Amino acid sequence: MSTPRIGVFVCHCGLNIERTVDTARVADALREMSGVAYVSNYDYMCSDPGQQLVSEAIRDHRLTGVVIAACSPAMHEPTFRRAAEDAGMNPYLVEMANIREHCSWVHLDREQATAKAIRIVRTMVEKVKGNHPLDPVKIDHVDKCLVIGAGITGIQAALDVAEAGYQVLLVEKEPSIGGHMAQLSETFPTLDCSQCILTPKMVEASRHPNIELLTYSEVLDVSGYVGNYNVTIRKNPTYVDAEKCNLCGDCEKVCPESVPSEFERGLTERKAIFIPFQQAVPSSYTLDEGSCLGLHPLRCSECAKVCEVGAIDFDMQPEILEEEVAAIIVATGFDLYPVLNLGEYGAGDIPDVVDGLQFERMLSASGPTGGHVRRPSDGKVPERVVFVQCAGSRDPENHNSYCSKICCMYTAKHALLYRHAVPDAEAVVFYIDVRAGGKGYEEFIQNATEHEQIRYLRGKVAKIYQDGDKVMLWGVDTLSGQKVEIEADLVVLAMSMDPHPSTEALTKILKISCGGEGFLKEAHPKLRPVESLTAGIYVAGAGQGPKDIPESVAQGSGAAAKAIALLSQDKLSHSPETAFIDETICGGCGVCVGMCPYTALSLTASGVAECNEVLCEGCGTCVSSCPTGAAQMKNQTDFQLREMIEVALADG
Amino acid sequence: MAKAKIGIYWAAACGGCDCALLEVDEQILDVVAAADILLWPCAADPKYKDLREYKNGEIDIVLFNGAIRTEENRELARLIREKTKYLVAFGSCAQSGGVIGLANQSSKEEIFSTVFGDTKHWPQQNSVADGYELELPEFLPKLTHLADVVEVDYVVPGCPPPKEVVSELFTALVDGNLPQTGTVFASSKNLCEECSREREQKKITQILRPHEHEPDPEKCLLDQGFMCMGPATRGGCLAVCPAANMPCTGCAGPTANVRDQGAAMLNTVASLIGTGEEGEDQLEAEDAILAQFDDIVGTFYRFGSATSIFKERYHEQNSPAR
Amino acid sequence: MDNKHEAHEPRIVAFLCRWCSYAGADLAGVSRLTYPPNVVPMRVNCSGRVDADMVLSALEKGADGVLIGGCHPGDCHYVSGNYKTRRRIALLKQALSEVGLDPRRVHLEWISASEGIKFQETMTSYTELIRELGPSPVRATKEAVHG
Repeated sequence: MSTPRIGVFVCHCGLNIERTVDTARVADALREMSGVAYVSNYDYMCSDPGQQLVSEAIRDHRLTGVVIAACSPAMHEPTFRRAAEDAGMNPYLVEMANIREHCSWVHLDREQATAKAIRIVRTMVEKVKGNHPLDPVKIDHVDKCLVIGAGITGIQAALDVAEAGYQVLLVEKEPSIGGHMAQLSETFPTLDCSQCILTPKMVEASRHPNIELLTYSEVLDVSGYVGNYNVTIRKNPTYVDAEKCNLCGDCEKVCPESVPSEFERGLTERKAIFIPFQQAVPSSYTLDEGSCLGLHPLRCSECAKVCEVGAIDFDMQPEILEEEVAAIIVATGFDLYPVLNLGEYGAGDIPDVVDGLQFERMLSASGPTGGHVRRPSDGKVPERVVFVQCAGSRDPENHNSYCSKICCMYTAKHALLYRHAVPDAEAVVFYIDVRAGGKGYEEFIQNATEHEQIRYLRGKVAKIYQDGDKVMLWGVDTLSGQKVEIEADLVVLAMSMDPHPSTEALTKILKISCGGEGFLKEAHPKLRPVESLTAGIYVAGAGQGPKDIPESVAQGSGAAAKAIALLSQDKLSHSPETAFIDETICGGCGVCVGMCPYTALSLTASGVAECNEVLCEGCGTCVSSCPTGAAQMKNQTDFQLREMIEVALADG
Repeated sequence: MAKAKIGIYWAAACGGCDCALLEVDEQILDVVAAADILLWPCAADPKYKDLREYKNGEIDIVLFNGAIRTEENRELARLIREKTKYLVAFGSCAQSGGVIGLANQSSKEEIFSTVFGDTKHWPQQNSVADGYELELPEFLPKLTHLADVVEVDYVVPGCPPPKEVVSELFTALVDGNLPQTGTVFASSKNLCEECSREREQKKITQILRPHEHEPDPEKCLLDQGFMCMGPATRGGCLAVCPAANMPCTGCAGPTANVRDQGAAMLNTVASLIGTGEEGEDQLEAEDAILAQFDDIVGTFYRFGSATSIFKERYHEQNSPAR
Repeated sequence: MDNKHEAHEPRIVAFLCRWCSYAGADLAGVSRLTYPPNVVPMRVNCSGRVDADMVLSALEKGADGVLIGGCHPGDCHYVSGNYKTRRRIALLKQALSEVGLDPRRVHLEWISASEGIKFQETMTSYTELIRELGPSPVRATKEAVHG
């Protein structure tokens, strides 16, 4: 390699750097460093004149590499790489030395900060000396998007992608699409009927020519990479031919087996052959193998006997589908925190203690009580309902530490709807704070507390127990400091939101991360809220964190926009800073193969490892696990790192 | 063609390297036919004086085995360097200090007291025996390797170097066809390439030691939990130790891209430890496996400690005794 | 405290993973959280890139302490690189203890992108710890031989 000619550009960032780092001294020190051909310092390197300074120096001084000593690479690395590219330099020969976030902003002593800045810049110069020009990896892609989960988020995402003209595969685990929103009565703060606004979208999704709907289906495996994911999906048998089923319901009437209804959250029962709710999409019965007596004419077959159209097929088999998709939107949604974990609230053993979704079903006109509020134990109309917020939320010692975000709003809605349904009744709400951030939300709460005679008690409920035919609650009113004991006819727990239980297994299949609470992890909490850390996989909805319907829809659309942006590209680009294998050294021990979280590494027929740079995300775990040094990272080789370490620690 | 002039020297070593020269069987006759042996203390009886009298660079090539343990080793290494055109670090001790480098973990006093105990019958410095004053070379405070003292042109690794590699060197020598300096006479790849054992998806669920457990002769030793250094070790020996159901001990040193063989192996082993599943729920199980290690330096740095950070015992000034 | 001890300025390198710890350091910067200037940070994509040789190189080249910053368990940008580094560092610490080096000279810490304060606290407390431990005996040996 020819002698390096590195250019170093030290930014003052106004006073942001200059105040604690003597940039002139940094520049002087770097002039002395071997391999440095040009040094300059300037007020704002990222300004147009600053960038021009870099471009000109690259040309005039025939630079072979550039170090910008300024802010974090997270800020302006793309800026300067582009500037270098305009001047004819390969962008991967440009590196940032972070002397602002990691130096001038965190140190007070100018002498010490300057000395540290010099070390930081020297270290990066040493790195650039070893950098090679690289070209982004170009990839062809297919034109289809997979959406996992067909709640409101997934439906919205699927519709948006389909409308943009791309094929969508919408996969839902349950027999019907619609998710939890289908269970809700009315939605805050507008109090419009949930099903009325949801079902048109469900129908649209099922009829859209670009959407293929796979209900009662699960994603089993995902391999491949952005633009070309290979997806294996199992379509579970419903044992009912949806084309033939005319929803007459005769099968359901004769079916001898009953189990608690999932859709009605156990408030009522369903048969082994069932339709989750009347507007279900696809509009067909499903025979649940788990609760059926035995899928065999000798065991039962009552349903098949009465089905006039012959829709029931006991021989239906699971279908395994192999699909190729360019992008994946994960909208797996939520489930309620298990009430079993709330021993202090009866752990589900008190019949008249229900969760929020059960109460939604009670309020719903299509629900088991036809929209009349009746307590589960004896069917009486409750005269006093106590609502307990933060059940399982905001309790880091015992339960979830986070706020579930929507419960303040839906509890107010519940109390209000209950008061409307039972006008003389009393509604009491236990709360810690009322969090009503959102358009029209605070007004909704104000209305509930001021005009609807809902009693808000600030405090946590310590214990709930059955007392005769009443439910007793013990708590503390933290405003008055008084102990509170309240007798209720019905208690509604605003249960914490958990990520759906299927989330963890699915993230392993997708090789994306979960945060500490188990919710899908976004690439950046502020700037990349709907992207996962894996290219081409997006996250949206309540699976990413507790959120309400408008936010879920917005995220669904956001994720769809990201997927569309990807699908609309002719070819995809991928960072070339990947691992590579030196075949002259690799002996094929295979250690690296198992290290790669992206299956980028494999052993070739000739017995050496090979890195598929399209799959490689550049973590370098294979490099640090390779016992021979055959595996290396482009522009971050072991050799480069050792040289950098030496310079970082050198005297003077 | 003039006969090549060669030398063979034995510094701080066990003698295995000298024996290994004969492993090439009748090829040694070709060597003798093509070369004059000017120096071979093990076979002839040269004196310091003879060596000093050669002109600088008069010897074509010297195979130097053994580490630098005494003042004599060091002096001879320097003298030989002057007299030979090419100097070969022959065997692990010359290459990297070898297994005897682990002696650096102990002080000179500890070594002497362990080796000689309180016997009075070992020769003291400047003692007189049979009327001659004995001049014993000084025992250096630290053992080191050849390249630490003089420039080395070639490396023939191994403890001892395997006959395939020795034969390769002799062929180059007889043909007058030595490669460019810096060459290591061994495979550029790791031992796994030459090993015929079956390898599965690699993971290490237990740490086994060969004197306590009998390895399965078919399966990869590392997969079984034996600390086989093969992955971090140059091939060239045709994996004789694994073939004999013994884990590789790493005598041939690392491949060209690796600076520190022990560190490379430590990385590999630690990366593989566990059930194959990664997760927070695995940490305890992983720690239990990590706790099964005994003598990490002696395992991963058996031949290379003298050239690594583990070349001595350190004394922390301010940390509590551990 | 004697003068010699006082004169010792710890020299520390930190290998920070790009997505969590390095970003955490950025956040500390943005939040103007001050800490001692002894640590020279180096960015790697993943803590899984950090290997024993890098740590040993640093110690051999004069570091009194080596910090490795990675994502919290379960949060690794690259799924599981941090677990591998955890095991490497654990085993390396055992090896360092065998030759009498204080294993605390190598330290692994999980610092997320949102933990600017934890980054500050780690830098402060680790610098303080290394100051208490004093110069690395590896450095002292090197200086005795070559200095």
